[in-house]
Amino acid sequence: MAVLDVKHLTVGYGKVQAVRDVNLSLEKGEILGIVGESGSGKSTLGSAITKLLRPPGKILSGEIRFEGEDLVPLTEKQLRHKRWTDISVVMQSGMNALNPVATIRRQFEDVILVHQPMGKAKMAERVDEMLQLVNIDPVYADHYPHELSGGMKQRVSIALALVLDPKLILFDEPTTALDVVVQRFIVQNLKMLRRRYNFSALFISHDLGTVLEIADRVAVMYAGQIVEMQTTRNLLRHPKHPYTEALLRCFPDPRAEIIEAVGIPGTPPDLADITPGCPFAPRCTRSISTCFSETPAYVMEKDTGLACHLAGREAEVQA
Amino acid sequence: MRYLLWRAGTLILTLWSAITLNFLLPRLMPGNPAQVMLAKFKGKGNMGPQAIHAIQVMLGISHVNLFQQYLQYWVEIFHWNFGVSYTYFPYSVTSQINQALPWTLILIGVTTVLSFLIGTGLGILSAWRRGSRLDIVITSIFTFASSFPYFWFAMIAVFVLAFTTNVFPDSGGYASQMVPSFSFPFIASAVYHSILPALTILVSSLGGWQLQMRNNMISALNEDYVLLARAKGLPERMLAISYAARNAILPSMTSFAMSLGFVVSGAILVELVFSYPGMGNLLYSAVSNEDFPLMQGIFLMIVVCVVVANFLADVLSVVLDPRIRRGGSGA
Repeated sequence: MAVLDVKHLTVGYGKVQAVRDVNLSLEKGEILGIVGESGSGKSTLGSAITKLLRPPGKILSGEIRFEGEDLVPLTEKQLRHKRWTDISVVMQSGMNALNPVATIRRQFEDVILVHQPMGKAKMAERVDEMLQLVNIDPVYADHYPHELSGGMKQRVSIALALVLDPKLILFDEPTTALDVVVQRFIVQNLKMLRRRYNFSALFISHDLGTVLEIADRVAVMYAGQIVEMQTTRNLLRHPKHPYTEALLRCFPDPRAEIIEAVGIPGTPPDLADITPGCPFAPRCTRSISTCFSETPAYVMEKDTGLACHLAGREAEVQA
Repeated sequence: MRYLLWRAGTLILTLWSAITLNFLLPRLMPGNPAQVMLAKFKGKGNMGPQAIHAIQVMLGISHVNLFQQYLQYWVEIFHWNFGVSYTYFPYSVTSQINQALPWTLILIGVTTVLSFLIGTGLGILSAWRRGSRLDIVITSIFTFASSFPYFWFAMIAVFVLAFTTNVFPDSGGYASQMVPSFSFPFIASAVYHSILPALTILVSSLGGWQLQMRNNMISALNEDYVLLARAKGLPERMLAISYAARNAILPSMTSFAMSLGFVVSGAILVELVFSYPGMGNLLYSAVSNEDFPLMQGIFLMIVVCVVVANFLADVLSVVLDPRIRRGGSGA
């Protein structure tokens, strides 16, 4: 059974639907990457799945099944016991995600004491162990967040997310505020941790390179919808959606003799004013008349999915 | 630690310059206290040079140079001697201050602390339930109440609750036929007399604390660390108190520590409206009677208290906010 199964999820802020009819599932130990431009709804999707939407954000319809149980109708009280023991979160820029007036140790301890109370000595041992996992000297346990560098804070946030050995971790832009060296280090570290703890993860980022490196499967979001989902390997080799293709072209191959980076002209549509048709059609180089009149359905097949009118036609042409 | 030492250094420097200014200002003004006193006797016939000399000796006016006077001034400060009051002649300034100070410290001190505690508590509550009926009621009542001009509100209170209905006494710190002592009837009378002034102070000052805390807490609630605390599944109470309120209270604590410094100066309006025998009233009579030694003594007390309170506010924020604790340059 899938750890996470999201069905027809729609999330709105007032009249704007930031996430529209999203379907995805996540197996045990799998990392699903979610990529998209700013405003594509990827962070809203993450917040909705963990039920951490800030008002006025609201789940309008759909199901979020975690180990078979739908989280959508649960109250905050009922959810509280699942939080962190089952589902934890690593937020963008650990700098603001850590309480500035509490030591690192206290931020580990409060969550342990609430969910899995244990003795002081055992708890200290656990904190040390967790910090070492992310290559942080345990002496920093008694420091305050502002005394740590950005990369260290982000590593502390990761250690914090792992402390209760959760089944699902949401990484919301975990490497965005960091420089590439630290980014690479964190990605390597996460791969090691995943092998060791076998957690499932949603890895949200606008940085396609990082996502391709860490994720087993990748979902590409555009204007609040998933337009394509494939295994990382296939996505790299055979992108099916023109948007994915265009995104991949934005990342030049550093080994090529002549490096050519191509942007995607135009801007994403205004989510407050959605008209029928494929939302990417105005920017698409291969759009056909149907693209402007009919919204393409999201067709799922096992662990892949695609929403494009060209899908069938391409195959015909290639055949 | 180094930061605190540095702050203690500036504290001493500030105190020194304030006290020196307090010494210099009256001496830079034309005339001297003896002339003021002489003027009072003008209509009662001429006074001989001996009489003038006698008054000068009595008031402690010396003719040595300014620097020696300055040194003498410091010696007197350490002996807690501020000279003789003109208005309450022949009582000393010290005795007048000693009489007025306890009244103000108790009335204004207690109401300042209460106002901070209640206002901040309600601020936390209304921020936590922001947008709810409770929040709307609390916030609009306090915004309304704190927009009254204080003297107007106090006079209405006196008129309605004291003058018309006689529920509370309309003036004074205790029943006029009583002699101050530590007896139960006297203390009961003092408490009874303080209820109305205390209530009016509370009503007009609670709003400030409530609004400040509510605003700070609402911005703290939008911080990522509060969202993460929710993701951690911490109980609501812990989220509200040790994450949101703990961070939001820092600016309020600083204002509170500073407001304690102004307790000594009393609330002049309160004490005037209620004829309360405190520092505010004393300062008012000193100013209106041009009683320089009394003014100087009171100003000195106020300055010292304000400066020390500012220092305490700094110490407090260092204790409460780890970002100020090390180095001194907060992040």
